Amino acid sequence: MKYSFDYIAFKSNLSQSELFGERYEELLDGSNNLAFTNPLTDDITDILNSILIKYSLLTEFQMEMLNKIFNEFNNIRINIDPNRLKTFQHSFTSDNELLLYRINQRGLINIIINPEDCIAFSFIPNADENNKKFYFLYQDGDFEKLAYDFFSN
Amino acid sequence: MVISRSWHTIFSRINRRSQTPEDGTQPKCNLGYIPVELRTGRRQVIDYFEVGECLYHRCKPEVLENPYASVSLTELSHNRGGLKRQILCEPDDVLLSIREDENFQKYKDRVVCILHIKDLNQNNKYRKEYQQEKNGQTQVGVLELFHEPVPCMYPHSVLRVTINGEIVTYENHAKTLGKLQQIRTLMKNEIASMIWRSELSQSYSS
Repeated sequence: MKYSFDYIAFKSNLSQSELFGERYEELLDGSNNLAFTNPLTDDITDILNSILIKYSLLTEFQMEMLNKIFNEFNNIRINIDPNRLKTFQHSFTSDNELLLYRINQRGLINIIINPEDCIAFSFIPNADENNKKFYFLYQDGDFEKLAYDFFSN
Repeated sequence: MVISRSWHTIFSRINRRSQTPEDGTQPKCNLGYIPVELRTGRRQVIDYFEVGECLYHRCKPEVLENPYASVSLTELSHNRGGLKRQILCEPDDVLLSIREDENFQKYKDRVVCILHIKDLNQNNKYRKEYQQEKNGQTQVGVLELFHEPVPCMYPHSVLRVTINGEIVTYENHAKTLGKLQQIRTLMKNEIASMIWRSELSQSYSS
C-alpha cells in the first residue's frame, strides 16, 4: 500500500510545492505519535512502519503482537468501515511497554503491549466506574475483539 | 467536583488550625519555609483512610495526559489529603521540597496529580493483592498505602509495592516486578484509574 506508484507520485508532487513543500513533507512522513489524524497518511502499513522505526527497543513479541493488531485494523478498514478507525497515539514506557492509546470524552483506552508473555486492554471511563474494562490477551487471543474494543469506546 | 473542592478548602483551613501542634514539638524539621501545620511534631500516624480521600502526588505534566504511560511503581510518594473531619493539607503542599539537601523551596517544573481512593478493605486500609503464575509458581504482588509522616510533612504517605513480601525498589525492580508483567500491568492500571478523572479529559475529543 505505502509504496504504490500513485501514492509516491502524489507525495512527490506535493513536496515540490515551493510554498508548502516542507509542510507537506512533515505531514506525510508519519513520524509523529498521532495515527489516523491526517487523511493523507491514513495508510495502516505506514503507521505500523513508523512505530517500528521509532521504537528501536521493541522485542520480537511486541513486533509480532503489533502486526496482529494492525492486521485487524486493516481488516476493519478494508472489510468493515474505514470510518471506524479513529485517532490514536502511541508511546513507549520506562517499563518497555508499547502503548497504543486513545483519549476521548468517554475515557482513556489503552492497549498495553508488554515485552513478552501478554498484552492488555484497558478502558478507564470518565464517569461510570461500572463501564471499566480490563483483560489480558495472549498470542492466540481474539485480536479482532481487541481492535473493536479499541475503536468502539 | 467544584463543590467538593470548595468543601475541601473550607474544612482544610478550619481543621488545619485546630491540628497545629504546640510550639517546640517539631524539632526535627529544619526547613523554615514549611508551614507549622504541615510539620509532624508529636502527631501520631493515622492508620486508616476514607473512600473519596485524595492523594496528592508531585508529577511531571505529561502524567496527566495518559497516567498509565508515565506512572512509576517505585516512586509513589504522596501527601494524603486527610479525612473529611481532619483535612491534612492542600494539594499544592506536595510541591514543597522537604529535603534539606535541595536548594529550592518548591518544585516549579512539576504539577499536582490527584489520586482518588475508590475502595478500601474492611479495616479502612488500602491493600490490593494480585497473583500471577510464573515458572509453575504463584507470585503475589501487593499494592498497599501507608501514612508515613516525615518531620517536615505530616501528610506524607507511600504506596508500597511488594512481591512475595519483598519491597520493590529502584535497585531490585528489574528482578522483581520487572519480570512479572501481569502484576505490573494490573498495578499500573489500578493507579492510572485512580488518577484518571473526567475533568482532566474535558478538552479532548474523539
